[in-house]
Amino acid sequence: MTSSPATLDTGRARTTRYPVRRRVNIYDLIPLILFLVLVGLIFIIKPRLLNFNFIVVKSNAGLTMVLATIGQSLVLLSGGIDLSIGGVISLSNSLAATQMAADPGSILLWTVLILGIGLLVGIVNGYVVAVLRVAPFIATLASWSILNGLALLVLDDPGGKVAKPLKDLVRSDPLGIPNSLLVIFLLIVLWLIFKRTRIATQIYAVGSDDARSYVNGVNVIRIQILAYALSGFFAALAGIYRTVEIGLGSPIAGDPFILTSAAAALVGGIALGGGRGDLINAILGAFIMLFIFDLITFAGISSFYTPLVQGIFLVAAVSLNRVGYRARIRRALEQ
Amino acid sequence: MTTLTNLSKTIRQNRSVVLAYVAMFVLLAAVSIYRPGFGLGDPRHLRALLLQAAVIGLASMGQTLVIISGGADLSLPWTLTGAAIMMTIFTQGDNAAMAWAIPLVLAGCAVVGLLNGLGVTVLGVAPMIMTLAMNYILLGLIAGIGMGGVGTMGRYGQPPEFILAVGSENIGEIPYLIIVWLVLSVILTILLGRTGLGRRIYAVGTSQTVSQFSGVNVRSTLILVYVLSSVLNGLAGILLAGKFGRAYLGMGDPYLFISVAAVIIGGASILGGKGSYVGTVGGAMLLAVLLSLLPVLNMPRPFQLIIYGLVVLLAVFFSSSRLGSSRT
Repeated sequence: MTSSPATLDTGRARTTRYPVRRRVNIYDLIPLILFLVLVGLIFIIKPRLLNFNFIVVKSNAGLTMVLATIGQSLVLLSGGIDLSIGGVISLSNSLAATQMAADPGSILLWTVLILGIGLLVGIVNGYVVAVLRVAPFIATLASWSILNGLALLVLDDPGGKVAKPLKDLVRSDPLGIPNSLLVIFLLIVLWLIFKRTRIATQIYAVGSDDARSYVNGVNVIRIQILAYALSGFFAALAGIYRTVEIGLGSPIAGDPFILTSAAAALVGGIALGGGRGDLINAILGAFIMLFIFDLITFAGISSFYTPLVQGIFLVAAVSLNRVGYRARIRRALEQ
Repeated sequence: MTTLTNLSKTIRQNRSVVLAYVAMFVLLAAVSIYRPGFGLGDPRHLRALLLQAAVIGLASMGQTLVIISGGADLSLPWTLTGAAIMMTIFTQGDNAAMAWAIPLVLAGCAVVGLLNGLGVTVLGVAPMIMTLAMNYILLGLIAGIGMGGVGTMGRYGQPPEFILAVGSENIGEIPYLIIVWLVLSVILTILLGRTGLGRRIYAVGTSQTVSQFSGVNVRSTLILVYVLSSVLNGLAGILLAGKFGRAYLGMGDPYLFISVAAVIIGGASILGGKGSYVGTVGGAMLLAVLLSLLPVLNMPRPFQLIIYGLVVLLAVFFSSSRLGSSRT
């Protein structure tokens, strides 16, 4: 593991901030390049898609994945992995489709409740990982199983429906652009602000080396619990949005997102093991995974081959990231 | 006296393995008392339980090796499915075709394992990601060939008579599948406990750096582990096709979680260096008993998943509680 970033600023007392020389690293741009290449290819194959509607459709279709990937990325940055995302999405999707009545009061109540459940699940995950010291892979795999069971108790077959006012609200576009796109922009802005806070630095630090973070005064347990709690919250949000998008609930709605959320984050340059990566690239990673599907379909190849290409992208992206990381270390050592 | 101290030492060292077996027998006894005619009260029910355990155990063979080596094989579901489907497509129910079809399929699995191993060692991709990506690749390939390419829409013909017989018939009162499982269990236990390769697998799982400096070829050991795992998963797929009477897309999906659960309940650490196939057998039997318990107790199926999760957490918690801060 590497040492913590130079700006690690966790002490209560005044500490010196060392200026970090920012140099654009070509490897940080890999997700953006992949994203642009895929979009370019799609437009070359289907030039008539080149319009505003394409952005509307894609941001609507991609938001669930983006939300799941953001939660997963925060946990990955802190050095863990969250497989319970699938369970949270399934449970919140099932609850939203069966419990929400078509009046604003019920919608508000259940939205708050579902987000609370997501937070609670995340806190429990974080507690099991940080305090009971169970490996994240096992802890969250177990909670995925439990949550899937609960989702099946709520809804044993795909069914239920989305509350109409909720759908109307989500699908409205008061600013002329779709709400989903607005949410993605908002999340990027929030991330840019959050990234400069002490807590974000601590998440990176814990992901880089939890022992050194601890001796430098980081409350490692609190930071890990926070990362899982945020992941649970975003997964719950993804589950509610999924209900609007699909229009019904399913007790296994979240399963496809367990591993694809991790894959998207990794394609977006987040390092398994933590400490490296950026959420904006992870969001691009989510869209890269979606565009692979589009490209294959538009190219007239059976969509069943999508996972094949996604898998190759995953290995390639992770290998490239490793090469980039090594190059950076080498350059740092030479200076 | 010495044998007794040795025994108590063995028990202490393998606390979680013993715990898995004890928990399994306690549950079994509880069911037998609660519902006479189930569990220990009925040899046929016991046989069904063992058969269920055999299915879980067969699907967890490769996972045991990989987890001990410090990784996890997430490519299990589609290696298993792929082997089963390819075997059925190649043989079309013909016994004679097995002579070339099964070696060919297992060789294909070996290539999958080789690619996993090369990705982990040469490219340096984390095992979880490499095998996850491989699972995607196989899923795409098999679904593409199976649904789009050959155009069979999920009909792949029948597995050969011989495989069907091994999967579903009995010799005397004992199903062939249980005998096959027993033989493979003995082989795996000897491989892990009595051979140089076995010791190298534990060494690499404990610490790659220390193994490297102690003269263990970490790279070749890991590659061999992934090759073995994929071949064993393929073998499990072929046997399960015999048990279910057919091969189908997605048949391997349930075994990803179950195999990891069985291995972990059997006392292995997901961080590597710890575990045994005897433990996995215990884990498989415990899961099989739990699975059979739910209908007996009139509990709906969802509880199965909830209980699986709780049992895994409990198992990990118990096996690690004495070790203090070390993660398992």
